[in-house]
Amino acid sequence: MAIDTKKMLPPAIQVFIVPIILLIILGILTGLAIRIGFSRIGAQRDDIAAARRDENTLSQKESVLRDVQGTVPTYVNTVAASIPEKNPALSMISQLRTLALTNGIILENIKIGSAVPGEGLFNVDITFGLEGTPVQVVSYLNSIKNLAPISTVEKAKVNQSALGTRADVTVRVYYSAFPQKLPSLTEAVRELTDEERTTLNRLSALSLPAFTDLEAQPAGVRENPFD
Amino acid sequence: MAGINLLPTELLPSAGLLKTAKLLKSVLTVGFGIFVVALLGLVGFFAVNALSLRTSTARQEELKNSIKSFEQTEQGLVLVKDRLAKVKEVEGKDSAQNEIDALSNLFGQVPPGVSLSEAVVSKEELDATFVVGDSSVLGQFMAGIIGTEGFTKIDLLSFSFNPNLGYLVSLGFSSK
Repeated sequence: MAIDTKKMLPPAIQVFIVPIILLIILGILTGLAIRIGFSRIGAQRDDIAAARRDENTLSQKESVLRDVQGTVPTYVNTVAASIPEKNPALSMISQLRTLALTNGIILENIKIGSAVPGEGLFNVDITFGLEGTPVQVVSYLNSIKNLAPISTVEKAKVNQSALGTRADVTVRVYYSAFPQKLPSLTEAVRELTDEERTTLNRLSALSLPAFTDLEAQPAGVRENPFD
Repeated sequence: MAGINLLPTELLPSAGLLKTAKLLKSVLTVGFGIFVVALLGLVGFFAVNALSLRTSTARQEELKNSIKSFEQTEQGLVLVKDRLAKVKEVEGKDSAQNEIDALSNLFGQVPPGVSLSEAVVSKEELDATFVVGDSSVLGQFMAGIIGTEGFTKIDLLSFSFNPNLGYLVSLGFSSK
C-alpha cells in the first residue's frame, strides 16, 4: 500500500507545497528563457547589424561602380601612360624626340640612368643635350611638363655662345607596378573626389606617347629555303 | 456526496493561510500566463529577426553578383585611384619645375639689349647670368627683375663689366 507522504505533512504546509513547486518551476523557466532567449536574440541582432552594414556597403559599392562604368575606362589609358607599369625611359625618349622635332631643336647625347627603387615607385634619370635658339630651349624646357609619362626636371644648365644656345638637362621619369588584386567584395569603394577629377583632367591634357601595333607577318612560302 | 473531514479543527490550516495560498495560486496562474505570452513574443521576435537576416543575406548575394558583373569597372577604378595616388606622390616631390617656369617668365621680360648668357636650374634655385649691353638698359632690366613675382629671394651673385660685352649680371633666384 503506497503511503501518501503529502498527507503526512501538516495541513498548513500541504496547502503551500504545490504553489511553491510551481513557483520554483516558473522561476527556473523564466531564468532559462531570459538566459538562452536573450543571448540568442542578442547574437541574432548582432548578425543583423553586420548583415545590414555589409548590405549598405555592397549597395554603395554597386551604385558607385554603376555610376563610373562609363567614365573609368576612358581614364585608364591616361593614368597608365602617366605612371606606366614598366620602365618608361624609351617611351620618354620618344616623347622628348617628338617634342624636339615640334620645337625645331636638336636633341643629342641621350643617356639613361639605372632604375632606382623607391617605396612602390621606381625612377629613372634621362640626361640629354639640346641645341637651338634661347627661345626654343626655354620653350622646350617648359613643355616637358606636358608630356606623358609624367616627369620632373631635376636640373638644367643653359649656356649661350656664338654658335647658339645649349642646354644639358636631367629629367626623372617614374613607374610603378599595377595593383595585383582587387579589394575584398565587402570593402567600400569611394567615388572619385573633385581633386582626383581635376588631376585626371590635367593628365588627360598630357601628350601621350604614340605606340604602333605591328601586325604579325603571315607565313609565306619561300621558293628557296636557303635564300 | 459531501466530503467528511474527521480531522480536529485545530489541525486545519487557518483561514488566513488558505487565503494566502489561494492568492499565491492566482499569482502563479497570472505568472505562467505572462511567461507563455512573453515566450511566444520572444519566439515571434526571433522569427521576425531570422526572416530579416535571411532577406538581408539574399540581398547581399544579389548585390555581390551585380558587383561581380562590374569587375572590369572595379579593376579600372582601382588602377585609376592607384595611379592618381602615385601622381600625387610624384607631384609632391621636389623638382626644378618652379625654377623652369620662373626662367620662362624671366626670359619673356628681358628688354631688348639684354641676353641670357648662362642659367643653372636646380631644385633649390635658379642662377642666371645676363649680359646687358649698356647702362641705359641696365636700370630698366634691374627694375624688371625687382618687379618679378614668385621669388622669395633674389641674390646679386656677381656684377662685372667687360668692355667687349657690356655688364655681366649674375642673379640667384630662390622661390623656396
